[in-house]
Amino acid sequence: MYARSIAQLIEELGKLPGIGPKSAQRLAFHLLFQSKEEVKALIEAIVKAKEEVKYCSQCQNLTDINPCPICSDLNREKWLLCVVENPQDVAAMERIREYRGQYHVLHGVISPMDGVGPEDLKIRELLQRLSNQDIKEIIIATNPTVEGEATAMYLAKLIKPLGIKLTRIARGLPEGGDIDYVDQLTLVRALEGRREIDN
Amino acid sequence: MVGLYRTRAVVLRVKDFGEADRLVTLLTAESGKVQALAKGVRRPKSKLAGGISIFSLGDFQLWQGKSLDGIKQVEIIESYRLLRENIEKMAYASYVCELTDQLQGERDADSGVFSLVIHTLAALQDYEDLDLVLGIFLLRVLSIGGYLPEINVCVSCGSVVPIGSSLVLSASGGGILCADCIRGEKSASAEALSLLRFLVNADYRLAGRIKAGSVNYQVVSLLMNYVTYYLEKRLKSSDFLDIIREEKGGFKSVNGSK
Repeated sequence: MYARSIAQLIEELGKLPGIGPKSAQRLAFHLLFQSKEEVKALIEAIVKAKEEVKYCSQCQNLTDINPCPICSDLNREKWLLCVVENPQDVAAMERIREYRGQYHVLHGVISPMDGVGPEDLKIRELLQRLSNQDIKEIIIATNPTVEGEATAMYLAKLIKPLGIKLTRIARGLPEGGDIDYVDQLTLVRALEGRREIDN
Repeated sequence: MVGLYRTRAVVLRVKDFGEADRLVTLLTAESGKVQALAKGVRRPKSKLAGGISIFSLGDFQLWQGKSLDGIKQVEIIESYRLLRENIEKMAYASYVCELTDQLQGERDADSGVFSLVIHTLAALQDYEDLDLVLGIFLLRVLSIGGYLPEINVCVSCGSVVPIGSSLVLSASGGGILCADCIRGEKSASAEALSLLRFLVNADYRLAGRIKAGSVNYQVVSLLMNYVTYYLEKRLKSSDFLDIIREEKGGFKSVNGSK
């Protein structure tokens, strides 16, 4: 139907997440009608990112300088560590501008049905860090999904014996939410996690 | 409204789909396994979110689509919270759900499997002896599928295997072997044979009462191997279940010969 090189481009684009055959076709033709310079810039950006981005030796986040800017920032608290699932979660936490501690990126969660076990995550690196650095509190900020919970429980089993304070982020109603529209499980959690009002 | 229907179902599997949707595998009471799309469920204010997490039992309102049905509403009946809050229980429940997902064909109505699964999830939540619950589940599942191993006579020579013999379960033979017909097969203790025979007719209420300890571990390991043979593939969740079971202090005597 298409020239072989176009078909191949469509096929490669179709391998990207969330891109179906129709979208792949649309992207392919968009690229074909762009100038050579624009296409080259895209290719270079992909290759550069792929070559330069590595895991930070400390937090395991993706970075192009090692240690990453967060780990080498002297103004951040060294005793506080937040464990997250992936680099996007670090970005989300940074957007709130409230957290001034360190991070550790697991790059996934324990998901038995997808065949992802503890050894596939950056857990060994986390334990190594705990033995080298003086961490006083660990916040586990995995998602409130079954997999996120399982990962939190697994980490708790490993970390509790080390005598480090271990906390889990709160769950409950979203800001601006509506009790009437919230699901039962969230409401149960919100009740459990209620707090005394300080005057 | 046209094309809407209600059904009671348990969530076997949840997978991210597209930008904010999830693809949900439901085991329904009326129409067997159904794949349904939960639209927008990954957005923080989605009303569906809590109801479509794995293991939960609920009343679902679905709309019929051309290739996929969609979830319009869900009301949770039982969320089996302990299964999510206890990592051991979670590992067992994941195995149960993955096995059910593999064995059930789509739209293959079989209410026997549905009630078995919800009773199994409830038993995993309520009882401590998870191996015993899994053992009973595996035997029931094999029985429904027509793969129940022969446990009274030797599948090779047909002679009755007496009480007190060690247990040798041959997956390719479809049952146990007697002492004369063992050819390099792994064997487990005589107690394991008695327990296996007992579990075939047991129900979950017993799981709170029997104390079988390491014998359970042996029998369940053998049954898991047996199931793997018939599925012709290893379930992904079995790796994690193995880690959990070994950590719990199971004895690896199954691997040794007599």
